[in-house]
Amino acid sequence: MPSTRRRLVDGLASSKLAIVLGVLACGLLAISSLAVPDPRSKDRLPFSESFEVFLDPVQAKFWWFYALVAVFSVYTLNATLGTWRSWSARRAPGSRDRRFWGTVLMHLGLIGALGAHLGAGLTAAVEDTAVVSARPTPVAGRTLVLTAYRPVVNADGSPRTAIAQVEVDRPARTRSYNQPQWLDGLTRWLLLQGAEEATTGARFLVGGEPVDLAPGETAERDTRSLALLYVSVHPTLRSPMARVAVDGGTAQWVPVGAAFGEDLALVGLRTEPVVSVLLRRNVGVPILFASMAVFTLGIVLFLGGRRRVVSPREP
Amino acid sequence: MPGPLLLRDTALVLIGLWLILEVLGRSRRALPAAACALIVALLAWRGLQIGFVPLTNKFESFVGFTATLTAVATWRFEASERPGRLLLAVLAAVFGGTTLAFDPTLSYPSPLLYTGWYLAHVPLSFAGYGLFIAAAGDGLDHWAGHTSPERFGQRQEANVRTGLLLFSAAMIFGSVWGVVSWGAWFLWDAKVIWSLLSWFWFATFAHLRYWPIAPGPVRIAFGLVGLVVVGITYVGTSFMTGSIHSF
Repeated sequence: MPSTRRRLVDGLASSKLAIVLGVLACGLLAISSLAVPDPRSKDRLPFSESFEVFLDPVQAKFWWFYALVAVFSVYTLNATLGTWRSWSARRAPGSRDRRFWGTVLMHLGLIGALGAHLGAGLTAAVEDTAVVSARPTPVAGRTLVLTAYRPVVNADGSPRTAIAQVEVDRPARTRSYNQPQWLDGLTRWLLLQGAEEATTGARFLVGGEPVDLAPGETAERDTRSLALLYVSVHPTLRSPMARVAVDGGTAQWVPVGAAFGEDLALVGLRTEPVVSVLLRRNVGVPILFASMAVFTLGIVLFLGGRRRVVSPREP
Repeated sequence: MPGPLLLRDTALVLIGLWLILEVLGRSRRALPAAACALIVALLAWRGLQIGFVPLTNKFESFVGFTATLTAVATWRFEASERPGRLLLAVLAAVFGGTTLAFDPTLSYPSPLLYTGWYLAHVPLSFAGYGLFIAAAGDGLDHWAGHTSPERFGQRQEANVRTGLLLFSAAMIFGSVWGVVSWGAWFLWDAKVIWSLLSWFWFATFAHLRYWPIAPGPVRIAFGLVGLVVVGITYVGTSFMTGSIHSF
């Protein structure tokens, strides 16, 4: 008669338990899809794998999440035990063919992916977001500089992509959308999320000489002064304008072409390329990528194997 | 662009004919095959116009899904019976017919979609969905008494297993796309949650043969629930908690 411990391990490794846990997980996931706030609302959950929102503090309204953690923990144990037992015992039918090893690798890939998700849940975060231009911009303790920029548009003029070269404390590398710049191995990465020609300053004629001002800068000539407060889209006129203070007077919106007497005039707005970037952190990424490579190898082996029913698991 | 849309319209006529002949029990594989070829030709034309896979709006999504359903019906024609094929024909008619209500104007993908990961993710997902629907059809075939328990089990298992492999690949490509495009492979959004749910449902389905119970009714029920799961994952999530993947 098998010991209690043996029966416990048998039960934990069984495919029947996997089926029960699978159905349970699906039920809880269905509930979670109804319970999570609208992703566009202000109380939405973070766009991240992080568990932080569920743990700090623990809240009864997230009961489905804690239940999911429990179910997936037992699921991982079940998959690990079931796969390991069949692998070590090699008792499964067809254990020497590629389909058997394909299913073993797929189970290992799943276990790795669940582990990666645990790592992600504990570490995933957005470290910083920033708009980076040609001027050095501090981002999460690093200094970023946009050193080259080339937009690529579709035939209708809509943006297709942007080729941006962002220097991050080391020689610049060219990156585009969907091309992360990996930092610290695969655990930190910089992502291009947007690119545009942004209005960042204004050009004035001061006494007949062109003068470029950035927001906050002032040009003076003789007794006259002109301070550029900022450049923005006018809130009601909906066109880009400069907000200036002339000769120490009150701030006013002025369009391109505006003159202030004979020797001061706004002749243009200065644009420069800027890119918005996202710095992500997640120690689960290298584990996930490795797990997916293992899973993919399993799929390839399975598809390349003989057509027969095999499994790495005990019935 | 009325010219290329004639391909879709002709395909819809063929799907309608396929549906009628299926009801009459006189269907031929050539009908879904020809409909599929016409829709693929339309998608190829649209793809050439924008220089990328045409999966940028709900019109192209539904057209692409209709192509998938006709492709699965063609592939599994001999390995399915009338009720199962009827299910595929009805769904192809519904999804294809719905595109008549959508704006067919060509549009370009947003920059984050211009990646091979997306290009692989969506067609593989569709292929998985199509085979999962075929598995539900296998259940209807058995329910209607067209297949023996053994043949039913073999056919349904083949559809679920192949669908699961393709859907797994879709999930892998989708996860890598998420990481390299916006920095996360999972987020609490109805579409992502239901995609994960779909994977676990059909992974569980693939293990059903280890449960020592009468295979017929349980497998039929799993297939039909799977049909609902696929429906919610693909279309239904647009109506739940404002998914950011909404059509």
